[in-house]
Amino acid sequence: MAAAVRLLSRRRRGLLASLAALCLCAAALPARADVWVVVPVSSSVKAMSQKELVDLYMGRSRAFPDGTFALPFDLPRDDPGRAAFYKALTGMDLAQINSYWSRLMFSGQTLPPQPLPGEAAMADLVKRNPSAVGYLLQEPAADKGLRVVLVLKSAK
Amino acid sequence: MTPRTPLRPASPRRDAVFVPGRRVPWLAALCAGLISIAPAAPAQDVPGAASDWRLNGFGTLGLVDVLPHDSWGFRREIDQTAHHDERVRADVDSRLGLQASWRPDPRLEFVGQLVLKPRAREAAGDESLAWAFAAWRPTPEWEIRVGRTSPDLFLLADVRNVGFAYPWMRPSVDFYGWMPASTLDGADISRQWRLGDGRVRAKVFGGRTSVTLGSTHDDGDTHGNVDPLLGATLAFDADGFTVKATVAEARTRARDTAAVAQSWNALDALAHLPVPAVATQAAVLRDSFPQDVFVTRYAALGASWDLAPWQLQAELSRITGNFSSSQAWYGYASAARRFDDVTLFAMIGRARTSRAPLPDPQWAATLAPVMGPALAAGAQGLGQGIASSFNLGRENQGSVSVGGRWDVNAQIALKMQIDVVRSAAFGGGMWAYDTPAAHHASVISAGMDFVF
Repeated sequence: MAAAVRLLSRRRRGLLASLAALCLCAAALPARADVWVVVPVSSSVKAMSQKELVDLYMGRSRAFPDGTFALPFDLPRDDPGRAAFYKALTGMDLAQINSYWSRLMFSGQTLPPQPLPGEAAMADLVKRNPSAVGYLLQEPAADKGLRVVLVLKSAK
Repeated sequence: MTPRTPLRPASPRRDAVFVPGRRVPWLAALCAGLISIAPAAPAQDVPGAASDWRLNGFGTLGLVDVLPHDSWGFRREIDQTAHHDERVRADVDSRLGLQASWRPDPRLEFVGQLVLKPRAREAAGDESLAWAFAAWRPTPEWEIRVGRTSPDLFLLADVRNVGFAYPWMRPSVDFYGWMPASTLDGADISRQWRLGDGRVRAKVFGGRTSVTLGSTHDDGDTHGNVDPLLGATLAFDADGFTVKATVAEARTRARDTAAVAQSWNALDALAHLPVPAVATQAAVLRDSFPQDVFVTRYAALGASWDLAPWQLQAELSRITGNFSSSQAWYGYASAARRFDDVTLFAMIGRARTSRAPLPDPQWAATLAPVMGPALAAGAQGLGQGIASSFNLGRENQGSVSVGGRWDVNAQIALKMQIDVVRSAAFGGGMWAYDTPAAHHASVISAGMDFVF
């Protein structure tokens, strides 16, 4: 009996290890990652549509739907998380996004969203700025001072 | 060269000496003033806003070979230095741009941009300063920019130096090549509204600028002062579709206004002679350029449609003015399709001056009995100079372009393009060292665009 339990236990550990490996593999595929769009809990914005977010992150609007100034933040230019975000948001890859923004930025129309060093800095700055909007590749914890206003599903 | 262009007076070609950088103190004072009031801007309305400094750049390394290797010289813009197409050239498309931006809060932005590229020999140093402005946004819908911007005349007018922003090696030469004014010292005000799922943008702008156009036949660069340049744009965009309408008017004076006036007055006197054969021709030549101020009016309509994986774009413009050689049509249409990192494109373009070529005056024999042989020869020389200047500056050409762009990564793109350009007789005004004969050329281009 004890031998059977030990055998079953070893099999379960193997099964768990396999499941964990599968999960890790899945997590390592940025194309399958959802993106959580966040604002600070102090923001008046409760929810956003994908189109409203496209307008903000593509320089077509400078305001939230309620008319207040918006400060969108971004990840570094070559960050895989940035690629996943824009792919999920617009369907475009980073070369297309950079080409698009080079047209707006170098024509003096507007600057692209301000890049921050990483997701930790993004979460920290958004939390402290009532006008901010940012995005995270992991769902923020409920007590982090952030409100999720939109979840972007990964691009196929 | 082309008297049609307001910034390019018909005659004489060489104007008064430009005082380099004479507008820079004005710009510096303006920017300093705006910077000094910047702390008073209501940053407190946006708590925790991050001050945003950026230094970015763009550039193109390009090679161009034009077949046949003959005396004509291909130019993508008429402010480029003249050359003959006798060898592969790197100075047609190559350029480097640097841009510094500071956004202390969402309401305020300062931008400076320097564009280094081969220019006309007598171009002033400050022509390399493409942008130097402060933008203030009292609300998310309104924007006021003061300083050096660019005349927002066409879809790509602001970014024609930024190769990474478009699929081709260069914007359509037939459409953009003649446009000499790339900066505007003044102000613009714009407002945007939501309209259904789209956005409407309206802008008015005004200011002044000066330009130096490269010589086309070893006859010296041409200088012009544009003051004022006033215009308005109305644009609508939704779901990747953009349509934009522009109207503008420019009043241009040659630096050497006396020489232009003298030529006009001399032709006007000839037009009043009791010699009908001469008077009629002289009146036509006189009306091909104004006595002092070249007034030019622009109207343009452009549309682009980003219908992934397709990109469609077309523009049409009409130029008119207070002188007969100003009338012209310009247009192009482009289709591009993206295959992963590769974009293939095709483009057609057309440029056409409305006025027919001017006749070559042969007045010496007719006028000699009236005013003596010396004055008659002088009158004929003046008439021939004006006619030649207009005819060689006249545009009547079309081009077909095909090519590809490969996005090596998110910051570098490699491009190749072949243009077949046909210029009709008296239609090579976009070229340097053009002749009255028709011309047919193939332009083979390769290059690398980058942003950083």
